[in-house]
Amino acid sequence: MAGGGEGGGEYDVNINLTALLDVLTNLLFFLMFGYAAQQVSMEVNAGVRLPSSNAELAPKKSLKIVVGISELRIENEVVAPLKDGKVVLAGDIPDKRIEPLYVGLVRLREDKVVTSSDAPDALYVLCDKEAPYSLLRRVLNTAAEAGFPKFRLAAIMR
Amino acid sequence: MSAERKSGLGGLFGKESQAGFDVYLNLTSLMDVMSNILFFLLAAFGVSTIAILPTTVPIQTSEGNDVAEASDKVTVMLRAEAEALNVTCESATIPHDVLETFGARIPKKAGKYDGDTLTLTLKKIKEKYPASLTMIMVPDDNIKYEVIVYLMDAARELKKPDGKKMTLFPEVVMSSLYTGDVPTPAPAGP
Repeated sequence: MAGGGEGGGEYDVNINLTALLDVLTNLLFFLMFGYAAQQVSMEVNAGVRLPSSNAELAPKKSLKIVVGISELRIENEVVAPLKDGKVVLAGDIPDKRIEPLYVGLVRLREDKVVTSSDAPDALYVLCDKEAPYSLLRRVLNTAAEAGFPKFRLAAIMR
Repeated sequence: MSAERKSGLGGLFGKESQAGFDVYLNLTSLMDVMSNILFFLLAAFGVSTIAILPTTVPIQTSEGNDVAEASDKVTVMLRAEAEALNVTCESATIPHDVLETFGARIPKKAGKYDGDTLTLTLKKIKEKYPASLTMIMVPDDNIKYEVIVYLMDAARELKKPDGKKMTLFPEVVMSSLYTGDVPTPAPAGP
């Protein structure tokens, strides 16, 4: 068969692959350009379900906070467990800053990890759509205290 | 034979292969690689595209406040309460009684916030004060993130019947009722 490894058979079948290759090549280039145009690929983990939005701004490279259902993360590091939209930590004071989050963000800022990002003072916030504002507010205020007053709330593009 | 070779690559794949001799290319490996790349890219492309909604929180600084001072500019305050949305306008220069006419209370419809009415209310404000961009949003503590995004969408822009978009209030400051705890940013590192 033409194009195959078993080409030494009793008889050959000539398959015209021009059209198939043409389509594949077009698709390939289209997808490669599309992939290259994506500035940031973001992995939504920790079971986070993002809401949909008609916003059209694309993400850029920046530090990421994930407010999931069961845990709060900075990038992939879990900093605090969550339950029913509240931080479950010994010594945690409701309506005050979330201490492990504050410490983690200050450390990252001092280590200058964030200076390599496009907006060093901005944070991505990937928040579960069911999370209450009381939790989101604490996260935002804590981050602002740690020196990140700007946020990019993530949503699925509609 | 040499004359046939001079015919070059004409007829590699298609109908032109009726030349002096046929060339059989083993395309298995090429197809294999292309298919792999294709499936990888398709999988990556199929992943939902992330959009972002820029926002800030109020912080304690010595640089003044968010209340607009120009005569064609106001700051909109949107309070998302349990039963309704409350829209008010603030300005350091425009009289309060003038701004009061643009305020509105928008009750929930069938248990949901009325985003369409909110958009129309903000449109009126925007038409009167076109330089306005900032909206301070004060959601109730129990409001879900999904609803906050919905309200931000409703406040960001208006899609006109002709397909054009009118920018309303894209700059959102997430706030809460004052409890005495306004974040003071940590000093910048060395």
